[in-house]
Amino acid sequence: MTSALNTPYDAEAPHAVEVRGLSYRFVARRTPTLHDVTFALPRGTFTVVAGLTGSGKSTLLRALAGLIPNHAAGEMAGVVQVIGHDTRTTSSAVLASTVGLVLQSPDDQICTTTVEAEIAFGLENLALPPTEIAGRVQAALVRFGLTDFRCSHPHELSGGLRQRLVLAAVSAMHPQVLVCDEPLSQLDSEAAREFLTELNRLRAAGVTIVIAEHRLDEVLPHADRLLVIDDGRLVADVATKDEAPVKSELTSLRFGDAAPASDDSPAAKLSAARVAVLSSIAYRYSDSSSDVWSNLDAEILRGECIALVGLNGSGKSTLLSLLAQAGSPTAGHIAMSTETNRPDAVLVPQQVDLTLFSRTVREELEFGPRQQRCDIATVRRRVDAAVDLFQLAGLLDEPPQALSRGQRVRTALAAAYTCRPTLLLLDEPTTGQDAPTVAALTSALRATVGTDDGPAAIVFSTHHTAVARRFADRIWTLADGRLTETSAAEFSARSTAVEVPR
Amino acid sequence: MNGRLFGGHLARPWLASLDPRVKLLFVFSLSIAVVCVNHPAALAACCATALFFSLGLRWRRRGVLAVAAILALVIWSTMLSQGFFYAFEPRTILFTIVPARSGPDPFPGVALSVEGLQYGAIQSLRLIATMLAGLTTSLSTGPQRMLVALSALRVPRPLAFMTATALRFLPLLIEEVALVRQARRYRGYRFSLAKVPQEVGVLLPVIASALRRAENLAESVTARGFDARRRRTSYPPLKMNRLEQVATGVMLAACAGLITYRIWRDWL
Repeated sequence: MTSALNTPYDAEAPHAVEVRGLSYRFVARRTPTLHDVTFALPRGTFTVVAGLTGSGKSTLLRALAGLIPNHAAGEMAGVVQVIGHDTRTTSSAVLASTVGLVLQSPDDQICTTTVEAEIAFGLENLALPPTEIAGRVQAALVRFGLTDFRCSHPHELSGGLRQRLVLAAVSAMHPQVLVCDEPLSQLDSEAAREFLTELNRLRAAGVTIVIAEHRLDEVLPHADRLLVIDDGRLVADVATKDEAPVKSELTSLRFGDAAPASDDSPAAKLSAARVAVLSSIAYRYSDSSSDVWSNLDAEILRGECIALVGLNGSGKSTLLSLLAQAGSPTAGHIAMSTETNRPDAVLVPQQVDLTLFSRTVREELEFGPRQQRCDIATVRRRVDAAVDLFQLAGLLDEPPQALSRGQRVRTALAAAYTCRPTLLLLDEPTTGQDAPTVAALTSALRATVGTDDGPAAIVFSTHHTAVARRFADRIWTLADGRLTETSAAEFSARSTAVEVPR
Repeated sequence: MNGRLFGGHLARPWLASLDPRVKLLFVFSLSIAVVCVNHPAALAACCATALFFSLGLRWRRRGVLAVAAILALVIWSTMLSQGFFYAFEPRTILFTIVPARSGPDPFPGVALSVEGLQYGAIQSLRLIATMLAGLTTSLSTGPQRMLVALSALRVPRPLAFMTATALRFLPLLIEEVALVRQARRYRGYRFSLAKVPQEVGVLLPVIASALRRAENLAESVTARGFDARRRRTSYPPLKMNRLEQVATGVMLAACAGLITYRIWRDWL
């Protein structure tokens, strides 16, 4: 029986990861996703892989984990060695106990119904004896602070704890290389910080960490190396201690330290007209004995863009759904300004894929106006405007679910836009998007706020403080059951003060 | 999302702690029994056994009503279909919908018969017994325990994992259907009978989402060595107590006895 502790590996291998001339083309594609990628990572290092969405980061990470080429249909050239093992010729058992893989969404990775069983799952697959499994499960529970949740269903945990559970389950297999594909995208800043702390502890124990992430401001302070992938090519391989090259490589990939957007701020369009007024509202879940928040007073003015920030579980999505009139507050009330021929509010939920139910993008965009019984000319005018604004030209006859992730998000936003709501509500619209995509989306939306064709106001929730301070006029922070309101400039000053400078 | 549609929390302690292999074997044995026996009293006894087994669940009023409605529908539809289409003689006709026609273009006719209704009632007893036993086993066993049990019973691992995963993700699918319907309401959709065909569209994003999730899940479990070894261990290991071992022996013996009896009666 082979345990991960005594996995035979080349102890003399100079590098934990060695990639030489790696090219990969998926069967369904004409052009390779990766072109001649070569790099080597020393043991115990922390490497960040950066690049735009679709640049080939995920493909590279799957090649490191051995899923490519062993479990994917495509052509591979070059060599990938992990701890001296060639991924093409090494058995699944050895690869599984050598490389760990953590993906974006914990809900898509957890396959069992208790915390304990999830940690044991990989160990059972390796056919370890039950006594050894028991020891490793116990150690992982203690190490990752999950002891109190041993018998809990994973869905009873917060998003941060669920991602930590995934990390615990992978770590229990004692991998020597840990590969993480955008693990922070669904985590709030606190949970992201905790996750990165755990990664650092693993690195300190000798594990080599490779992480692809769009939230570079949070990840880079922990990294030794930065790899930048562009169109499948490795365009930069720099040590992060060399600040100048890192900054120059990342100018197009991060939001940077730019001041809050004010040039295209809708302040000029801002009038005192109130779109919604929240008066002393409180909310309590039916299975809870306390309010998630209470005495919440706020106003939303015509022409403004408000960012809603707060930790997971602070009630951001609940507040948005109340603004969308999907429920009523437990106390207080929300007054919405009603405009002729406009729905009061439309909410685009976090799971944008679930909002795309039509056969083509055109039908998706026409759905809202048709429900409002608009005439054909109006429907076409709104669809045309949305296509221009969200860059959907050429996609109108495509099935929405067959589009790329970025295109699907744009379609979902465009479909909400064509409803012409008074209040447009977006729940985490930037999740998993790269900085240029987020900038393009938010700029497009901001340009329309307060205009005759656009929403009167936008409220969006985000975990990404850089997005909030850059694209919002005001920031609402939900914490400890209260709502605090700050201007973008004030929020910017506060949040940059506590961030690690880079 | 509570994500807990199945599991030991739905069962009384004796059923929750019962080895899932024993539960699966019980369902298997009962299926053999209802196929092998024909006498209404014997089939009624099978139903009574399944009913007793299902009392191990912590039933709520809503659940009882839902299951009773489903069982009533099964009985009604089986009796009615057999009542009209029972093809054996003799038949005592209660009433005729389409008379039989002889001649160059014969038609047996459509008529409700007493014997057909009786035959339908007997068939429905078979269905009810297996459905109740299967439902009780599914509801009282968490997906993880089910996976371990199926693997221990030598069910091929991909099949066992698919079964367990289907149970694991069913609550999520139900929740996603609700989210899609909510998303449509946000964009002004209001249900009416005329829009019933559009309701099918609700499934499109749910299926697409399930396929994407399946891809991620496959990558995650593969990276955790799902296909690494021919056999896997289980934690905690399944262990039958003395009573469960005896019950297993009795059920296996009963299965063998029933099959032998049926072969002897029908073919020897």
